[in-house]
Amino acid sequence: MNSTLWNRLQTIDRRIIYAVLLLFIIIPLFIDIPLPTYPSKQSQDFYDTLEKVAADKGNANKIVIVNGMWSPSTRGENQWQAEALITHLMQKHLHFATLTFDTQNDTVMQTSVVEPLAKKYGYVYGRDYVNWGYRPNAVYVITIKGLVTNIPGTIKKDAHGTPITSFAVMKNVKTRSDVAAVVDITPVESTETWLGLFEQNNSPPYLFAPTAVMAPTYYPYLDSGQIQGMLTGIKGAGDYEGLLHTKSFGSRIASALSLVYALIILLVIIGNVGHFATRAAKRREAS
Amino acid sequence: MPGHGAAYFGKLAFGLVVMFAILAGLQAAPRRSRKIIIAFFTFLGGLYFALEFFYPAPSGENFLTGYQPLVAGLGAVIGSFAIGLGVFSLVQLHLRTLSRLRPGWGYSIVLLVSFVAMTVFGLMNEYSPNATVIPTVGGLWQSQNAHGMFRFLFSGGLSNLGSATFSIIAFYIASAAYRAFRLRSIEATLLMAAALIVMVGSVSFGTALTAGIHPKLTDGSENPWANLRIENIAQWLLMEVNTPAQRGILFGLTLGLLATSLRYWLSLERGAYFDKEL
Amino acid sequence: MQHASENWWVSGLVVLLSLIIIGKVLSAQRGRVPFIRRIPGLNAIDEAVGRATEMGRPVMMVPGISGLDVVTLQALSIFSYVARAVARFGNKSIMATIDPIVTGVAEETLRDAYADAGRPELFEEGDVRYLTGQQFAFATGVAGILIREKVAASFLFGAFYAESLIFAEVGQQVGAIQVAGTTQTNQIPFLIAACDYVVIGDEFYAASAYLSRDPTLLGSIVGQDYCKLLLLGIILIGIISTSLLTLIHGGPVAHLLHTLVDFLKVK
Repeated sequence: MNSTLWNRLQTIDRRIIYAVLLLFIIIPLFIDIPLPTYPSKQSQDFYDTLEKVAADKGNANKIVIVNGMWSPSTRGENQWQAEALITHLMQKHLHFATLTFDTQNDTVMQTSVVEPLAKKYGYVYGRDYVNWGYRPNAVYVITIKGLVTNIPGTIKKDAHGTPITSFAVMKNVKTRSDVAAVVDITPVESTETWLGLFEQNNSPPYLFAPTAVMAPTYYPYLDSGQIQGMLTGIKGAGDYEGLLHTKSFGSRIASALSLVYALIILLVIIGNVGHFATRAAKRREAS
Repeated sequence: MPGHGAAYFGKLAFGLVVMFAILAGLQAAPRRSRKIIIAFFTFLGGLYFALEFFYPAPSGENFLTGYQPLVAGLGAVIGSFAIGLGVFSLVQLHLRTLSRLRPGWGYSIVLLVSFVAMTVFGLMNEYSPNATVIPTVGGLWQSQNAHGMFRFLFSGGLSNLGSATFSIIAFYIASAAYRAFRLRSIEATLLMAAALIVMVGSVSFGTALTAGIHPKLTDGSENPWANLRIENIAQWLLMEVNTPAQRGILFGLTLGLLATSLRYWLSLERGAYFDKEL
Repeated sequence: MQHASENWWVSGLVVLLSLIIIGKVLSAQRGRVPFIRRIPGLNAIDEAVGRATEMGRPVMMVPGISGLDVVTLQALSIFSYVARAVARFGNKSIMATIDPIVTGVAEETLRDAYADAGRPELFEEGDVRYLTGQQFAFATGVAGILIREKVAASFLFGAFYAESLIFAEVGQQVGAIQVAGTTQTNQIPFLIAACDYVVIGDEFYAASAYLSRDPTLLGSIVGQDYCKLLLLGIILIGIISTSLLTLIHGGPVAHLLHTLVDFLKVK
C-alpha cells in the first residue's frame, strides 16, 4: 500500500502536471501577486550601459541599432524585452534604427512595439527613428560586415522603399563610429557575427536580449566584456521594466515565473521523496 | 511584379534556362568529372571569402569587398530554386498520401488547403490588397478584402500557432524536470543542487528569501555575508562554474567547425554527397 | 574583426590551426591512422535500430533546423550510418527536414546508404519529408510524425534551438529510444533530460569519424586535438604572465611580461 503511494509520487500523470502548471501561469496574470523584484546584475548592466550612452553628449547624432531576430513565436519573451528597450531609448531621446533578418519580425516589432510607443513618446519617423526593415537571413553576415564601413550603402532603403539618406535621423550616420550601441533581441544564434565582424575593442557597446534558455551559453562573452549587458528572457524584461519604473506585462509574468519555478522545485522534491521511499521499501523487502 | 517590364521577365526566363542547362549538364557528366566540377566550384566559393578576409584592407575595404552583394545574391538565387524544390516535394508527398488514402490523409487535406489559401491570399495581399474576397452576406458577416484575409491567416493563424507551440515547451520542461531530476548519484545530486540554486536565485520569491542579508554594513562597507544571498550564489555558479565549462565546449566546437569547413572547402571529405561512400 | 590586417596575430593563429588540421588529415590519408576513444552514445545506434525493427516500428531522423551548413552536413553523414543500419535490419526510416536544399541532399544520402547496404528497394520517395520552413510549425510536424508513425528510435543530430525539447519529450512519450547530439550547448540540458544518449560538444564533429573510421576524419579529429593543446599552451602563458605581473613590478622582466600580455590580448 505504502509502496504504491511512494510509487505514485514518482509517476504522476503528466496531464496533472500540465493542468497545475497552467493554473500557476494563469492565476498571476489575473490576480496581482506583489512579489518584490531584484534586478539581476546582467539586467542592471544592460540598463546602466544605455544610461551611459544617453549621458554621453557625443552620442546625440548617433543611432542605436536594434537588431530583431525574433518572430511572434517567441514574443512571450522577446516582445517585452523589445518594449522595455524601446521605452528606454525614447525616454532618453536616443535615436535608433530597427533591423531584422526574420520574415515575421518586422510586422510585429513595428505594429506591436515601436508604433504605439512612438505615439506615446512623440517620436517621429525619420527624425527620431527609422526602420531599416527586413533582409533575408542569407545576407545576414554580409550585411553586418557592410555596416562597419558603409551604412547608407549597405542598407540603401528603409522598410518602405525610401532612400535612408533622405531621413534626418540618418544625416550623420555613415559608419560604425556613428553607432552609439547595438542591441540584439534574439531567440537564435546571432551574437558571434556582431562580436566577430562588427565590434572593435568592445565598441560600440553590444547589449544582448536572448530567450532564457539561451542565456547560460553567453556567460563567457559577459565575462570577457564583449557583451556589456544581458536581459535573460522574460525575467530580464521584468527587471528592465522595474528599473524604468514602467511596470507592464514583463513584471506581471515575472510573478507567474516565480510560481512556476516553485512548482517545478516542488515536483522535483516530490519525485525524489517517492524515489527514495520506494528504494528503501525495496531494500526492506529484500532483507 | 509592378514596375517590372518585359526586360525583367526576359532576364528571369534567361536565368531559369541557364540554371536548368547547368543542372542538366551536371547530371549528364560522368561521375568522375562531376566530382571535379563540384570540388572546383566549392573551392572557388570558399576562396572568395578567404581572400577577401586575408587580403590587406587598410581602409576597411579591399578590391574584393565590393563584390559581397553579388556573392550574397548568388546564394539567394540558389536558395530560391531550392525553395521551389521543397514546395514541390511537400505537395507531391501529400497528394500521393491523399490519392492512396494512406493513414493520416485528413492531415494532408488540411496541409494542402492551408498551403493554397496562404499562397493565394499572400499573393493577392501583395498585388491587389483591396480586392473583395468574401462578399457581405445579409446580417451574417461583413465583406472581407485580400489584405484582411491575409492578416487573419498570418496574425490570427500562423503567428498564434507559433506562439502556442513555443509555450508548450514550458509544460515539457516541467514534466522532463520532474522525471529526470532524481538523486541517483553524487553527480546527479550536484547537478540538481546547482539547478535549484540558479532557479531560485533568478526569481523574486527566491531572492526575497535572503533579502534580509544587506549588501552593505552599517558603516557603508561591503558586507561579506552578502555573498550568501541566493542570487549571488546563483551568479557565482553561472560565472565561475558555468562559464569555464561553456568556454571549454566553445573551443572544441569552434575547432570542430574549422576542421569540418576546411575538409569541405578542400574536398578532403568523403561521403554520399562527395561521390564516395563513408 | 573584418579583415586579417586588423589583427595579424589572430589571423596567423587561424592559419596555423588550419595547417595543423590539414597536415594531420593528409598524414592519416597516407596511412598514419590514429586511434580515437569510443563515444558511448553512438554505440547505441545499432541497439536502437535493432529494437525498432523488433517492434516493427520505424526510425526517425531529424538533421536540425538550420540550412545546408557544416553542422547539417555533419548530421547527414551520421545519418548515412544510421540509414545503413536501418537498411541492414530491413526497417523503414523517416527523415524530416526544414530546409529545401537539405531535403535534396538528405534524399541522396539516404538513397546511397540504402544502396550501399544492398537494399535500395527499401528507400521510398516519402522517406525524406520537407515539412515547412517555420521553426515551430516544423516542431509540431515532427511531433505529429513521431506520434502517428509510433516511432521506436529517434535520432536528433544537428543545430537545434528551443524546439529541441518538443522533439525529445514527444519521442519520450511514444517510448522511442533517443540518441541526440547538437552544437547548441544551451539545448544539451533539455536533451539530457529527455533522451537516452546525448553526444556533447565537439563529440558531435567526432561522431562521423568514430562511426566510419575514415582516415580523413580521424586525422582531422587528431588535428583538432593538437590545436586544442596549442590553445591551452597560449592560455597558460597568458595566465602565468598575468599572474607574475601582480608580483613583479618594474624591471626588464615586467616589461617583457607586459609586452607578452599585450601581444596576446585580442583587440
